[in-house]
Amino acid sequence: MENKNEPVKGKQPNPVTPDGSLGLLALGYRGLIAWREAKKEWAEKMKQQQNDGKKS
Amino acid sequence: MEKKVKKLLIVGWDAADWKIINPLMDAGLMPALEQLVNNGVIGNIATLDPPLSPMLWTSIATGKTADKHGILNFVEPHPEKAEVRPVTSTSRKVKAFWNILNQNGYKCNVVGWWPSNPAEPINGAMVSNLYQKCTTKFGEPWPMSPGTIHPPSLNEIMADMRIHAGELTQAHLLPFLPELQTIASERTKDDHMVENVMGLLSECSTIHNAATWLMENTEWDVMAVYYDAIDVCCHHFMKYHPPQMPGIPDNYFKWYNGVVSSMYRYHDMMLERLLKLAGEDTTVMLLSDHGFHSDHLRPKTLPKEPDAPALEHRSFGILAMKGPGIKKDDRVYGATLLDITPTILDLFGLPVGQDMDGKVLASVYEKEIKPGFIESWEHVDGETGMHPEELQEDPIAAQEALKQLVELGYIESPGADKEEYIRQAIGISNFNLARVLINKRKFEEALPILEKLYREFPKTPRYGFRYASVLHKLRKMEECRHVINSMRVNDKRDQPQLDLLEASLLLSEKKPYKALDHLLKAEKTISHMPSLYLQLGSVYNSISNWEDAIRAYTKALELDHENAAAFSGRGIACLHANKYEEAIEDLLDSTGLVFHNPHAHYFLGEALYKYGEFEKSAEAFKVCISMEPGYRRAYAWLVKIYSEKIVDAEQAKKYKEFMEQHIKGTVTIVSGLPRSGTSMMMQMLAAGGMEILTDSKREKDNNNPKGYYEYDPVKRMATDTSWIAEANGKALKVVTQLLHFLPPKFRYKIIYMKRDMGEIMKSQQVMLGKPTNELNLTIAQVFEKQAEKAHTWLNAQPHIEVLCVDYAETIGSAAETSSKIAAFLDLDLDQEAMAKAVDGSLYRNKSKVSS
Repeated sequence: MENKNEPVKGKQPNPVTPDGSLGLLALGYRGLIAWREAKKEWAEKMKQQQNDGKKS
Repeated sequence: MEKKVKKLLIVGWDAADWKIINPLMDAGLMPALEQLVNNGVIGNIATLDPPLSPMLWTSIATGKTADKHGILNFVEPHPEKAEVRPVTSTSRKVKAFWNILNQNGYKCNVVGWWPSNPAEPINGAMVSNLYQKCTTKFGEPWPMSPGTIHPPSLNEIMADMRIHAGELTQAHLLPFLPELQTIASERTKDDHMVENVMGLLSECSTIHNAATWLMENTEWDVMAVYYDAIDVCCHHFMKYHPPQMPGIPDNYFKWYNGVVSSMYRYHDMMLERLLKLAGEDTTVMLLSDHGFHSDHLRPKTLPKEPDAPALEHRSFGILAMKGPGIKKDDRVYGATLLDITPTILDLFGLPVGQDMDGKVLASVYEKEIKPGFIESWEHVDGETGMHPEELQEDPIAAQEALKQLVELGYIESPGADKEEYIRQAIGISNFNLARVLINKRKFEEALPILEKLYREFPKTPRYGFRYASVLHKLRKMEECRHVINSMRVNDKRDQPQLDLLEASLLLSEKKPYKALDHLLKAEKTISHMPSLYLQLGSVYNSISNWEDAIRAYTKALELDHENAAAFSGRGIACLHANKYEEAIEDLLDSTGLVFHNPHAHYFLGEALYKYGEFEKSAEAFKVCISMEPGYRRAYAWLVKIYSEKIVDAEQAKKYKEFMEQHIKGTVTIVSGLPRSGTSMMMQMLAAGGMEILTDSKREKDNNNPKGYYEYDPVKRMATDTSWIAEANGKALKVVTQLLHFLPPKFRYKIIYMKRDMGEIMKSQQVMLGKPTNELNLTIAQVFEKQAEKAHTWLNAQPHIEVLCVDYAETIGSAAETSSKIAAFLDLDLDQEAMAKAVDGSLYRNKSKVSS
């Protein structure tokens, strides 16, 4: 079976932000995956910024 | 039978209501549903009683009422423990559509259906109604109970699809709660509305995630997904929905007034996604199980009793369908929840079980269809995907769902006394069963259940009310009155409701004026109840007080402007008041709301006939007999229309033949005012060889030296006509005032005696031993009016033929009258003997004119 568990790229009604949106939720599981992905990326970015801050 | 569907998407929105949807659609705020509406058929869907969701969704899924499918409550006693648990799928006694489709090789996915835990082992996937229920705090492990998902191989992916309320952000909540910041700082400790929105949003989004995943990642023929969030949201927030209700503080109204509308709009957004995933060639069915009062009918308070929140439910839910072969931009009338499964089976080219209580919604199709039938699917072997009997349910998840039901007020808290709680739960299930039986008019079966409940729970008034009501239906008047009187002593709060009940009792005892007293008394305290005005209208109709009846029904409609019974009652009153246009309008409104009402279609036919719309009238009568093939009066009208108005000999013959086959026979009636010569006519018929129905209880006397030829049960015709078959083929004497009680299952030939009113009054005075020079003119006027009314009624009865016979003329030319009578009755009577039976010497009270 084709793996369709990928976020919907370019189909979200609004940019996917870590806060999420109702529009994303309404897309169903694809919206959920996209939102969780954005949260993860944002968390990693924050972590990275924190690490960078400590280094400097 | 052909398969009419490629794939089918069924979307359930618990409690969705056109009353909320229509303004949102008009404002362009529900575009997905608007697209569905514009490309398909829509209509109201009538709910069932009691309107409790697990019962209703099981009726939707089985096409059967709850007495057959066995789901009778939100909860059920645990089979092994001294406690109750949320009702389970293992309690369902019959096959659901997914089981029937399963055994016919179709793959179904079912998500969230109530009740579907534990998930059934069907050949598609099933996600049970406990899947989205959260049992833990955010961040803690959230285990998924065994039995939640079928097949279990999907457990992991489905667990990942769940959204915890704690995961949501302000971005999700602000569309529901734009004043979120103010609420957070100003709300009181006991205000949990924000948490309620979070819970609802996380749960319905979780269901949606599972559904969208299954739609994209599995092969399916049917995708059925059920969302309960609109119902739960309305129970929490409808009191804040505009317009502001009395007693709702301004700040609460400001904070929460948009939650219901936002929840509908969010469901529309989810629907858009489902429609997109389903594709254009998939047939779509969107429905709710009942509506929800959103206007002035919102109850201000709810009684403290189980199931009280169901009082907020409205009788009509929504139905929308689109797809290949389905009509576009059209309406469907008369749908009920029970019609869904038969329609699903028909879409797949499968026969409908004759043991199902619903019908195929044939009017949704562009082309005419002929559904197939099978005796029952229950006896058809094959892999159904149903549970093995021994399967048990996980009690942890069940208890969490139970907690929500307690919080919602659907069920009472278990408290300390669990045994009492179980006893109460069993009582409620039995009560619900009795209500189902009452709605199926199985009063005899409902009676022992209610009697037991009434004895076991004497402090539960609703059991007593139903018990008394069933006793009334079964015409056990004495027992009914006894229950009402006992309740009057024991329950001081419900006196107005007892007045309503007593009024029904009195009305069926043909005591309308006493009934009126009770209703007018009740009006002082329960003038907000449409049912009061329905009864008032019914009483006024029964005493031919059409104008007051119209006023009463209008009040009922002011309180509930979609009340089908009020429209039909007012339509009938308007018809009798010769307001044909208004009658047609009301009866059309009534049948538009509840199509399956043969009575309303009959009166619509009569109103259209009198308005001169003969073709439409015929159509209405045809609808009436399609619903109730035994409605003889409608056949008689059709014969009349096709014989006299739209001359079509073939049609007239068809309906006449049907009547001949089904009408039980002809009764000859001799009628007239007392002392108009009816006994003389009976003597003539007897002499002519006609069999007379008489018990000879009233012996001959000086006033009637040849006998009265009366039959005692005639006096009780107002309450009992069960004996009328005894009169078949015979002659029976019935006074003018009782003619309208003749039941329509027979054809009647009425010989109506006419005599000068002065002579009648004089003869009556003689009979009463009063002086003949003191005639009571008021009584004479009343008699004249009654006779006039009777003739108006007789002329409108197509199953009745009337021959008027003048008393004086009969005395003068008995042979001629005898000949007329023999021709009218179409009988080979001994006319000579008939003429001889006329004894002119008995013509003793001649008026001055006639003498």
